Amino acid sequence: MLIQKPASLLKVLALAVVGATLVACEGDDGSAGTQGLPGVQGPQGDQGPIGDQGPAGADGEDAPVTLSRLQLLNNVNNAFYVNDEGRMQAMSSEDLKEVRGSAKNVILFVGDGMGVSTVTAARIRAGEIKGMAWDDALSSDFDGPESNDLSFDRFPFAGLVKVYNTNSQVPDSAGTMNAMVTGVKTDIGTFGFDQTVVRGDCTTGTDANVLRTSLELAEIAGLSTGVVSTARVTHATPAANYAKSVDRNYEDNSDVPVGCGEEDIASQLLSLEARVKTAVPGARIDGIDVVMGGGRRHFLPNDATENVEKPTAAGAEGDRTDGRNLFDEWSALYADGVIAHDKAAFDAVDTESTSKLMGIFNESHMQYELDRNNDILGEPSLSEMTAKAIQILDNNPRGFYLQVESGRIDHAHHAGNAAGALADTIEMAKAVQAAVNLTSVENTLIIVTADHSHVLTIGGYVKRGNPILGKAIYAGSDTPQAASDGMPFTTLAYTNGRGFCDLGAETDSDAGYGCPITSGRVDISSIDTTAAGYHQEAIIPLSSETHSGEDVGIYAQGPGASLVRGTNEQNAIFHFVDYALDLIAKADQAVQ
Amino acid sequence: MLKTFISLLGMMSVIATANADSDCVDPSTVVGGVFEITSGSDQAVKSLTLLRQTPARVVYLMTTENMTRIYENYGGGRVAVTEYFDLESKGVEHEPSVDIAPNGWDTLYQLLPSAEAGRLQHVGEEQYRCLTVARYESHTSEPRLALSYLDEVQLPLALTSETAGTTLTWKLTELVTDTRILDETLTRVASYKTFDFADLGDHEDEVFFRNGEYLQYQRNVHAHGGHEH
Repeated sequence: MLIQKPASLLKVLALAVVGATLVACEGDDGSAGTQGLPGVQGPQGDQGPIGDQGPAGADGEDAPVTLSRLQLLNNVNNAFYVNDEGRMQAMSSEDLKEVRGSAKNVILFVGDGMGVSTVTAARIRAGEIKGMAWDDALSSDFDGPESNDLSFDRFPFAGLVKVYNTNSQVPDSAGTMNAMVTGVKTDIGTFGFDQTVVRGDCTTGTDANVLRTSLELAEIAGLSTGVVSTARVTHATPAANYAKSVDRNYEDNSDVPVGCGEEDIASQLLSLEARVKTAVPGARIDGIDVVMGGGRRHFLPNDATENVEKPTAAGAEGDRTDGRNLFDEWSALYADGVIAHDKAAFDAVDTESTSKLMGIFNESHMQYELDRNNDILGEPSLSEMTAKAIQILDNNPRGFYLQVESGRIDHAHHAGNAAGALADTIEMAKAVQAAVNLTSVENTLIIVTADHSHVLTIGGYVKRGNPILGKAIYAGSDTPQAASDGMPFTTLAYTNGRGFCDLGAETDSDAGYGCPITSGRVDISSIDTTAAGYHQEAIIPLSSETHSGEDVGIYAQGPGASLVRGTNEQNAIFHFVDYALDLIAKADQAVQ
Repeated sequence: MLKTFISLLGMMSVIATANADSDCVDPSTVVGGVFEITSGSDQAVKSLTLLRQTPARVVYLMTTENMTRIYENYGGGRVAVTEYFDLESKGVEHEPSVDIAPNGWDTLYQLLPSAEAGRLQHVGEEQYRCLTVARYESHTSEPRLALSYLDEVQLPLALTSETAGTTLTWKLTELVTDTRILDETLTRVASYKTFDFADLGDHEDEVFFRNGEYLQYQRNVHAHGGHEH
């Protein structure tokens, strides 16, 4: 089964390419010579997998043992990795010399499901909230909300990203995030292993295809590291930074099939330090410094007496069936670490004296931004978590690597609730601004992107200043435009999903799952479609709206940002980070 | 359907119909009841078993629909529910919300909101298996309600609601005192693969969700009554 996968063939080809370049530094397309690994053959070996960084060593026999040779082979030998390494060098060879190692810190923001239409709609919605009104008779060109900028709209460099997974035209968050943090695309539903893995087959995730991540390399290099998300921290996007799993669903031990030897994702958050030390002898790492998000259930035992928030009589908050309380274990590992489960504890964290923070604020995902005030214990916002993380991580003079996810944009879209998705996108833009404010553009590369898009459309020839969540009103009119069926329609709509539902002022996007699935058109003449609880119409009835496969945007500022341009494979993002921090080389040096 | 039931109670009063039984029941041993529900123009009959694990956790066995639900009371009006699809051995968790039981936890736990009970007219009492049956009737004529309620075990014995020629009836067919059915149910659903409702969109690999079977379940529940939330 495994050897029949085309992906396996890809790897064989990649190995063949690398093998060829090791010998002769040449390829059959004229550019492959820059794609190989001559850097590992001589003194320049600690420069990482760069083929054109000076003379290659003669034979490599006396070369120092480097991280890139022993622990990164599965990354650097992969065809996707090789291809984009070479492509970047062909496109940006002059820039690369200046870029390499120019950043002290990197912050990678990922808006889960934040496709281009979501960015555009959120930009307009944010403009409306700011009061950017439009009047045909009075306004000048840039007055309307359409001219608004989200924080990252003002970044000097931008491009597009191809998001497909190795086995899926329309991807998921697991495979896409794996691409971003390892330089290697992989199958849908998996991370930490290359595309030879078979989802759900525990025997296929092995040392032979395991991948190292940017976060692990940053840890090895002595940087401080952090992962922040509004989803569960064991969810695909944040988890891909620190865990390896043949299935994204293995969030705690009760999710792992009997007989599967794989460690669950929550447990891997704690074992990262030990695992990397074992895999990379000489590595002096101290574990992830800041972890914030939701997902308490995966860290607590299935024992109601250990609940944090849930009343004991209502049952156990935790899902773990192995009796482990990972919060207790984390505290034992990091005696000076701080654990926070609510806003009050979060606010009390002293960022100057705290070296380790684990803030897990919800049993499952954190609340939607629109619904955050309804949380039982109180939750910080994404921008507040981002600021807190930076204030802790920047205490390390060597720098830091921080990955921030807005995880609930995706969920609101799945529920067919554009208002919720836009609100979480706007909050992520605030988080990006917080990062801009707390760092220097001189030493911090900030990248903003999405893992994939959704089937949200912005349609109809709607006039300037029309509410983005409203019914389509055309230029010269004050009444909603009727479609050929005589009924009005909204500017925003979904191609598929649960379809229309009017929940009025409801701020929980997931309340839409209680509505019957309604495909196609509904007469919305008397409905306020700008209300938070309005769920847009959809053509194709599905139990949940889906991801989409078109490119997503990528935006960057700071040292190394100039690499972000044109249309890129998603795995190129790993290289952006590697070049900016000189990450592999720093990691190499740290273990020698 | 439960929401409808409760709202009807709130609007009107009740008629009581009580069954007599010579076998006495110790109310402290009662963990739930089995109900036969008849509704709709076709007078379709469904079965519901309500089981109480704790004062904040109740199990609904909806055998007609092949579904099981576990409701959990988080307090502050927030109720969580996990909906299990028994034929597929899968579950979907819904996070705590005030929308799941908008008329309060009592509507799920004892099938009668305490606040509403006082608005019904008490018309008499009788005995059922040595338990007191309080009989209520509605104050209004449309819809007409009759309720017989077992105060000591906090369960309805019978309910009849008539409106516009449609009759809804709930009838207690058995008081459950054997906890084995509760234990077996909890063990059974613990083995199911359960998803967070917010994560359904990320499970394209799950045929159950992808091909619309879940959707069909939802339609079924809405079409034939049941327990909306």
